[in-house]
Amino acid sequence: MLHLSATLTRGSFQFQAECGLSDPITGIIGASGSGKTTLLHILAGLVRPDSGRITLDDAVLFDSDLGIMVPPHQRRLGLVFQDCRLFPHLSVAGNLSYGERLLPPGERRFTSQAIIDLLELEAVLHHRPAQLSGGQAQRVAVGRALLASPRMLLLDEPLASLDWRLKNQIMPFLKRIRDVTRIPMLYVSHDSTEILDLTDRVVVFEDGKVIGAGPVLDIIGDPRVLRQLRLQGLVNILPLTTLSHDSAGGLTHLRLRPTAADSRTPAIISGPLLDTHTSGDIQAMLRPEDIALAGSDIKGISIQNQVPGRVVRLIHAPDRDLCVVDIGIPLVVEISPNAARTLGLTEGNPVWCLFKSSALRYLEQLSDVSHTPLKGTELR
Amino acid sequence: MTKEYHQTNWEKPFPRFPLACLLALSCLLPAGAIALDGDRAAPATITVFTASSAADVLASVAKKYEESHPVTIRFSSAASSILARQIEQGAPCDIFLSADQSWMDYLAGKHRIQPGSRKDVAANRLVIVTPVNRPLAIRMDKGFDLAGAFSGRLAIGDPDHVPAGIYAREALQTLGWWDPLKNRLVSAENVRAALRLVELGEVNAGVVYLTDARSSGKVAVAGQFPVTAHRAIRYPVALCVTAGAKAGAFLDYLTGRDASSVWTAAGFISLAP
Amino acid sequence: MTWLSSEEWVVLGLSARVAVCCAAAVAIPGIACGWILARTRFPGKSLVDAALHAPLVMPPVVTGYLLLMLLGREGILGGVLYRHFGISVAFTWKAAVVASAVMAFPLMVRAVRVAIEMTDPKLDEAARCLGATPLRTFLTVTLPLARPGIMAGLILAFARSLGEFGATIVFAGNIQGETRTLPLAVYSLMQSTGGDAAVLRLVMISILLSFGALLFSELLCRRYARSGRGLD
Repeated sequence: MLHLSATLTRGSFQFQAECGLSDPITGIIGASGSGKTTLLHILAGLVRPDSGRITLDDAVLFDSDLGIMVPPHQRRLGLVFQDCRLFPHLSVAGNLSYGERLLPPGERRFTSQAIIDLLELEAVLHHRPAQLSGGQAQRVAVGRALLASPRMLLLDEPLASLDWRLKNQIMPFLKRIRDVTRIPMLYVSHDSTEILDLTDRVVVFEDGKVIGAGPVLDIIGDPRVLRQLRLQGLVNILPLTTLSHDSAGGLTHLRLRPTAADSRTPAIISGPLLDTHTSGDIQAMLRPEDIALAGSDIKGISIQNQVPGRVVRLIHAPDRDLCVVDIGIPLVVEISPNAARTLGLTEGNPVWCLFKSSALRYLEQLSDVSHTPLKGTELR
Repeated sequence: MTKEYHQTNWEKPFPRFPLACLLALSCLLPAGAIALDGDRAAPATITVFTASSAADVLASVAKKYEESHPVTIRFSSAASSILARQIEQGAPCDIFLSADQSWMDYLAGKHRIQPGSRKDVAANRLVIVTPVNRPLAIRMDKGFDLAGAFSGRLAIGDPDHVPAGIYAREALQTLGWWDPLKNRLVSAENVRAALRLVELGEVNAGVVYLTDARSSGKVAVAGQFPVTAHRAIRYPVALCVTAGAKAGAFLDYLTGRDASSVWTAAGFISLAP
Repeated sequence: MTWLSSEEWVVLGLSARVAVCCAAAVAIPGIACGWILARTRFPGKSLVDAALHAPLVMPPVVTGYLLLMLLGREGILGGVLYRHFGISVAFTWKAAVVASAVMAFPLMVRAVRVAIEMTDPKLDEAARCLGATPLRTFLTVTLPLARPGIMAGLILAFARSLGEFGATIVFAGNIQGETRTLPLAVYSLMQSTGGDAAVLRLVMISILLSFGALLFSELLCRRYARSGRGLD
């Protein structure tokens, strides 16, 4: 459990945050310069706040009143920087073991081999950082932080300098870390998609201040939060499982995996054709503005996906309305205020969600998603 | 099971062993100062601080002396000014040989020499030299126009602090040659440098000691200044106040008849009785 | 080798010994001062910087004289050392090391400072977050990355010592076998008769040694720079 309250003034930038973080993984969302990186640096001890108090579990890391300031090397918080910051004079193996070497063997939570397997770094162990691709370097940076057995992993926009393809490649690794290592994570990004792919618990920053904290759907009602989320790309993440491939039709059929126990039959959704050999679980992204609502299902229309659901919430924003529809998972739909009135949408109404199969965007290569559990003896 | 990863030199933290060696070495230096203190070495060592111009002669005399006496004689040769200042600061010196009286007077005033031991060991003469292939015919008296007799500059030791230069200025002033020449001077850092300038033909004339002229095969003596033109060029020698027991005997030898042939052979005028 | 007299061998050996000790003497203080100037900020820093560079701009003879006044037998510090401990540094080969070290110190500090300034302080932050204390960070990250510059500084100090004259002759004297290093030997030979051939020999050796040192320094820099950038 991390408690933080801190204020910091640097020139015209004023930072002020107060939050408690106890989830396995919390996303920090906000525009560039809104204070997200400052938060991580304050937590790590690289920046000293003007005032405040930081506690992690039962340890006090900072207290301006009592004059306590634990230096970074004693905080055991693994900070993964946006620019990797691998040591150029050490090989990958040397970088990985840098923090690990400083710990007494009894305090090391992971074996090197376990992390190397987790992040698939075997092939580049003897390379120098300069020889690595952006994605490989970022994985090494994460592995290095993990091997130092931190109490918490702080990731500062780790995918910012990577393109879409590389991001998709690394996401599975981050999910593995989330699921397998069970180290609490703070994930900073200006891209909501990355975060929402990993978690729905977020803290939203604007101009150096926290404007909302909690599950996305809970805080989405606040207009400021909503504006920030939409600016940073609010999206729906659909957890799906492949059913069949229709090469002739150019479609893959997938089943929606509902979040809660649901008596209804899970919805079937069609998306762009995947490689016919792929099968298993996959996440897909669907933008709220790509979904249309209808009072009933419509025949004679090219739109492939028509999913029934129930209106859970209506949120009014200055220029658009948001409608949260339960189709097995909560789906955020963006419609014009006119449309809301015309359809007579109210909470509890049944409604149909329409979206084209091409609006679905898969978030990772199926081949990277593996649920092969790590060999039990390697993970202490 | 953790694998053993092949570690290059760069994997290891800054090598501890060389670091330790470096640390040890830096600590050894003051320790070495105590352990290897040179002044606690052979008690039968005589240290002579000598002006550079007499260094060769002294070396020859010392060699002869060492053949028949169980002592080691070591020299430090530099400009008389530097030597005097070093002695003033407590340099471990037994005998001081200066190229002019003023520095000996200086140390006498600071009570750094034993006044009773002071003697003039040798004398020198001042001459005008030219490159050997460009001789000059001159008369060493007031009536002669030296400035008009050659073109270009005149090389002398720096008249502000080099003894040879001081003598040269005095001599030139006495003969009335200073004013027309004072803007045509090359002031060398020491008399040897002035000699070299003449040897190399960089200047057409220079003022040096007779001993310097004799030792060089590349200059011709155009004329010798009369002894009345300048203060006597004497080489005073004395025992320092911190002189060891054996130094006195060597001083006597240096200024005595046995050594006078060495002085004369080098071109000095021996003042041994 | 018979083309060097035994005296000349002594001179060479002495010069080499003094130069090596000079490099060793400036190593740690030089690295420390270089790091302080590169990474820290404090009031009066530019004054300290200027003071450290003083030996570069003062006449060497003046520096030697100041050393004499400080460490001579009757000096401020030397007097105490001599009267109470019997330690006398001036006019010994150790004095030649001290003179060289003082003259070479600014060169070492400059080289180290530039080398450390070129290392990325963000890497220090990364090391700190991984659990390294400031000292360990310095030893395992900053120093290895600054190694080329440090080596260059040491070799520069070595070469500077080989050529050091003014401060040496005033503080250490010109004693054959004890403090007569290469430059002093050349000076003495020029003061005496018939020393021309010997002067030439010693001058050639000086040039060869300095050149060799500087070439070696260049080679080392390149090799370490390539390793540092991961091009091996």
